[in-house]
Amino acid sequence: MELKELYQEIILDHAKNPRNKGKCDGFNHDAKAHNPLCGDKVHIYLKLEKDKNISGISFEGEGCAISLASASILTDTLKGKDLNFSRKVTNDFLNMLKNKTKITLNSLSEDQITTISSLSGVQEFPMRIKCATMAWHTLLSALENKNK
Amino acid sequence: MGLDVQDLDCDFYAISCHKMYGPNGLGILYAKKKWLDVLPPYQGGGGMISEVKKDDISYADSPTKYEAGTMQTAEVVAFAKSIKFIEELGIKNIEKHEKQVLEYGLEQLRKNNSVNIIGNPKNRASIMSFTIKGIHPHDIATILDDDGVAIRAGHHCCQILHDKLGIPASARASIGVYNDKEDIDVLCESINKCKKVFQI
Repeated sequence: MELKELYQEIILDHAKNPRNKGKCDGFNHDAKAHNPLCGDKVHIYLKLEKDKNISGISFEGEGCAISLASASILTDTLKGKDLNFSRKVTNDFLNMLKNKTKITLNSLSEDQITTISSLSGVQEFPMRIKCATMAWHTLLSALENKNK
Repeated sequence: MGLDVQDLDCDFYAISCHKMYGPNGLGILYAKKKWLDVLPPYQGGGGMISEVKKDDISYADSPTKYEAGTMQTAEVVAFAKSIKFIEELGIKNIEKHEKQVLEYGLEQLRKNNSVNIIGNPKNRASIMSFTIKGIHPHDIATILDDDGVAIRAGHHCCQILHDKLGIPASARASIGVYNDKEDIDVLCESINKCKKVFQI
């Protein structure tokens, strides 16, 4: 059943108990976005070290289960990763939804790949793709936006 | 809802045809003749002029001076059919039918403890706005859609009201001439499915 693909256990868990919610300590990059059509909001905070490592990452936001789960999974996956790697994961994630490709990055654990891939059910719901991609697009903006 | 623009004595009245079982992208703007005659055209184009000289222009009489360019002929013809459809059914009959289904719908939704119906106006149009505790309206809409129930979710062009109500969005089920009590039963069953999917 397609609906079950969309609302998988992992997604509901992240939506109900979002990880890394709030402003992370000492963040130096951030970006926010909102979708005026549906009212979803997301604000991503990053602490990017001089060696391009993301030592802190968090988000604030409100929205549907898909958008909250997506933001939560994003922060959980990229904490401690470096900038280039984060861009690659984002690219893979966006490609997964757009072109139905699989996420195969070597440096992600099997668990992490399973978690991110849980959002692939959104492919079958064109109206909901933006819910899933908003946080990741916002991450790309945050990586560009040096705030302090 | 029936209305009489002369009884209302309004200067202008805007109507969306798609709210009358008509086509999208078409509307009616009613205006008193005195305003139509004094206001300037808002757009130039074919058919709205009387005479064009090098230094001077005069416009066609109203309402033609506001009807620049090519008309959406197909939509206009389709809308005439929609009006006929409503007239044949009779607006009073439509109101009566919708009210019956609405009352049944409200009664059924009220029985569901997780559903919060928004607003309790004396004169309610045939719409039911609601939220379900713990499920965002967009998720509700997707799950209902899976059962063939089309509702609208979001802030319905009323962000300020939603801020005041302290909710990010709401779900809204509208009842039309095509709906009956059975549709309400499907809606209610599908709402229970939302709770199952979200394990509430």
